[in-house]
Amino acid sequence: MSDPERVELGCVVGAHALRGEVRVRFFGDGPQNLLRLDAVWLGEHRGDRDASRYEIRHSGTGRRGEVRLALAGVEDRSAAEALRGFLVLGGEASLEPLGEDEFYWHQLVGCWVETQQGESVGQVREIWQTGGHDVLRIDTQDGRQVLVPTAREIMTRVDLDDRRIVINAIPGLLE
Amino acid sequence: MARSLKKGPFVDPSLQRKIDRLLASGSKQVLRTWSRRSMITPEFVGLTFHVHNGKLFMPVFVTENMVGHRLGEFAPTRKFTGHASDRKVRR
Repeated sequence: MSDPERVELGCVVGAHALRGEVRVRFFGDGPQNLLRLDAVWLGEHRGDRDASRYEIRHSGTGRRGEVRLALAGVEDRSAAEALRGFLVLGGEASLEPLGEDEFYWHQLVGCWVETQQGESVGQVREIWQTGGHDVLRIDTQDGRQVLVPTAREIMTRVDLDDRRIVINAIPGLLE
Repeated sequence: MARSLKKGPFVDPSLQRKIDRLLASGSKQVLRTWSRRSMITPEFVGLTFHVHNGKLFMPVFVTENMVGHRLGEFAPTRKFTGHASDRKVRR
């Protein structure tokens, strides 16, 4: 499976009780994506070729910000403890479907950004959360860093197939 | 104690002057400001500010539901670096 088809959903932070359940801290807005999966991969990074696949026997919510997963083949606490620190990767296709104007972070990172006039701005490297709209951190071709809010009035078009974002570059935005 | 209503919302005079000039010209130019303490008033809606967070200027596009908050609330001074995960962006 190639890298883009797996997404980091969380990280194993410990074991729960004695029957091999693992505690997973989720990265997303909520646990819903982890709770709907039938299987996960545990690896060290998103593109980890050596990530191991585990069927999920059952899952449930745990402490705040965490879910508990019972993985097939992980039968006792020591085996669960040994998984601490691994990233939990899930298939992109199994993620919850989004609304019309919603995007997952991993879909936008790596997209090329251009203005409405067709001038290339750069590539999205990160997304920062703020109190309002999230902000795209774009690395330009001349080595600068530009921040662009994800407001509909500014991020006017997102083409995920072409990995392209069109922005309304109002005066001063890209300085 | 809350600010007295008779005074109205606080907006730094220098920022207010810039906004007045901008609105008079009809331009949508991004305004650069260090005034995190200024309250967002209805005339800010639709404008974009670059608000200093101590290190760099964070872009803040003002919408209606930001009215009554301070500009600084939308330019965090600490950066959370997480994974490019199943977190959602809403336009």
